[in-house]
Amino acid sequence: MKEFDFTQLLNQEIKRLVSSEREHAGETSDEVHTMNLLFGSFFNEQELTKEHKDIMKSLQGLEVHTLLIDKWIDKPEEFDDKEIRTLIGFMIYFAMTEKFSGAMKKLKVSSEKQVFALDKWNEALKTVYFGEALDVLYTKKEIKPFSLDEYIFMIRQITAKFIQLSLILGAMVSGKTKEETEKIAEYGINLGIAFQIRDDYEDLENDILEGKQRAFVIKESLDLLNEKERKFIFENFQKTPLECIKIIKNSQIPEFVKNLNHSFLDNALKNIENLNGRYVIRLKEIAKLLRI
Amino acid sequence: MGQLGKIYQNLNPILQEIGEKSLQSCYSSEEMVEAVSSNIDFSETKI
Repeated sequence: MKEFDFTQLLNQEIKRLVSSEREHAGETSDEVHTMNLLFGSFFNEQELTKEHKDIMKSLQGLEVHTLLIDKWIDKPEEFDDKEIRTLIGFMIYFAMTEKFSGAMKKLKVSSEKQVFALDKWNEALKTVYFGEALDVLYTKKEIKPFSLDEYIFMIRQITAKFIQLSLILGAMVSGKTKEETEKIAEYGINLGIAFQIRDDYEDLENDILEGKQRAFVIKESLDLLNEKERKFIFENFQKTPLECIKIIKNSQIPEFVKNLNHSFLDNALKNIENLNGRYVIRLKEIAKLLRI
Repeated sequence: MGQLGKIYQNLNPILQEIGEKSLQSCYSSEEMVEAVSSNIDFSETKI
């Protein structure tokens, strides 16, 4: 059958959307860079095959998929191309799943491990969407602070599962034992949470301007303010966000958020303290880089 | 999921080689178009 002009039209649209996300995210986003570094940590440079690189590419593609959909959910009024974003976003997801699955087959890992890897791949995406749904529900016009536990639960779904996925895949493909993989996975969740806390730390102003309920406005953070400041934040969170940012910045809250990042990184490191190998040294270095 | 910016600008030597490889293992926009549309088969149903 002839490939009609719509193939070209569709390709142009895919290129437009992917390019716009790359431009927005920079050449490579820190999240993709982190995932690729974590996956790559299990191999020496010369051991990295085309299939390993295909897995890294598919992890990057998975992020592009979520970005295409995330963006318009966060700011629907700014996008008049929501339908095509969503459709192409899912086309990218299916293409990446196929790429990933193909790489696993070529790496000749056992069928059992292939099924395990695909399960983890799907689980990561499922939980990311669950986390995004929570984020949408939490981001309301009026500030309704939620607890530290709720905040950690949410970012565990949104970010940490993705970060953990790259580690589980790296550990599995490089032949780590089940016991080692479990410890590495636990390191991954803690590292992923610390990653998002750092992201929130860096993004304080934008998050508040967008009304996002992140680390700086959880109940435990607001408890560090005096009564007058807390009342001001509650009453003016949406009306005068810049004033609220100033109050928060001048309080003990930034130190609290920084300590939170440190505590999850310390937990991450505890999980791998009894493991050995060059990859462990790399994982420790990555944890150092994510320390605020 | 935001962008942190400068975390990875100066990698420790132990991460350097893997850092470069991981950057090279990313899709360009053209490659991603290819990866997505090459999976679409307009010709026939294949099982």
